[in-house]
Amino acid sequence: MIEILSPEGRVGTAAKQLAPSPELLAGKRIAVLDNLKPHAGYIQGAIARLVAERTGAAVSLEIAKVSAALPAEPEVMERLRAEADLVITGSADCGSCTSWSAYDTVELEQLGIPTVLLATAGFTELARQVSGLYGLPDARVLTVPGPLGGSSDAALDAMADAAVETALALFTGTADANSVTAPKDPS
Amino acid sequence: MTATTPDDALATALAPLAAGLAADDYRLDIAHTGEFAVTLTVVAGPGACADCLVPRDITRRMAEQRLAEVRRGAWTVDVRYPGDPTTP
Repeated sequence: MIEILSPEGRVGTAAKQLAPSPELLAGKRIAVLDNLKPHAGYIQGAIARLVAERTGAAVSLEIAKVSAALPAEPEVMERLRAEADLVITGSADCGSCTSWSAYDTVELEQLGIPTVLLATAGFTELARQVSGLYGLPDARVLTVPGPLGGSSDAALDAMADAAVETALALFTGTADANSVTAPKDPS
Repeated sequence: MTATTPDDALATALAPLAAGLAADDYRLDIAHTGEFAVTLTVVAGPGACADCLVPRDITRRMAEQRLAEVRRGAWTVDVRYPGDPTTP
């Protein structure tokens, strides 16, 4: 029997690793990287504060990049590196902003900072695909139902409240967040 | 004789890409142009916003990756975006 081997190999970005997940978040500094999409900073900040309240962490920095359609500027990345142990990026709720938020997320993970990417349900799969292209298919993607733009503060607060347990699990490496975190029924 | 990949297999492979574009009200048209060649034409719907479109290189790379999972080979993916010549 003759075995024929194909010389074709898989071509792509080398696989990267997630930053090590902390077992406990107490004392950790949480930062928000806002891409200025409507209400992105609001809900990311709300989730960060809820995580901090529950764990003894602190929200240390809420910073915006210039455009959702560009990667975060080097000076923004430097501040995050210096002032944060954990980051929430986003929002991933359009094609362009999802692509660049995924890029920022992978970059931060490679700096050793566990980073959760906030995505709306319609863009979770895209966020995973793009993260995979950048070498990190297991990026920590936190899904909220959305929409963010046009939603009331109460609706955004409900989404944040429903997402916080998954955010905690993603930061500590105990969840893969494959399910949408639907808001609790207010009734 | 040249073997080709069935068009429905291409559509299935590219469905996640099409779904991501559809979320921004863009449609993905697929034309199988050769053994390992496709042309992907992204067509804007009435609610599409130009600033929201996935960067072209990302679209191409995702398509190459997905197509290589269906049939291994060096796929050539021509991506046409709204505003390009010959794109609606």
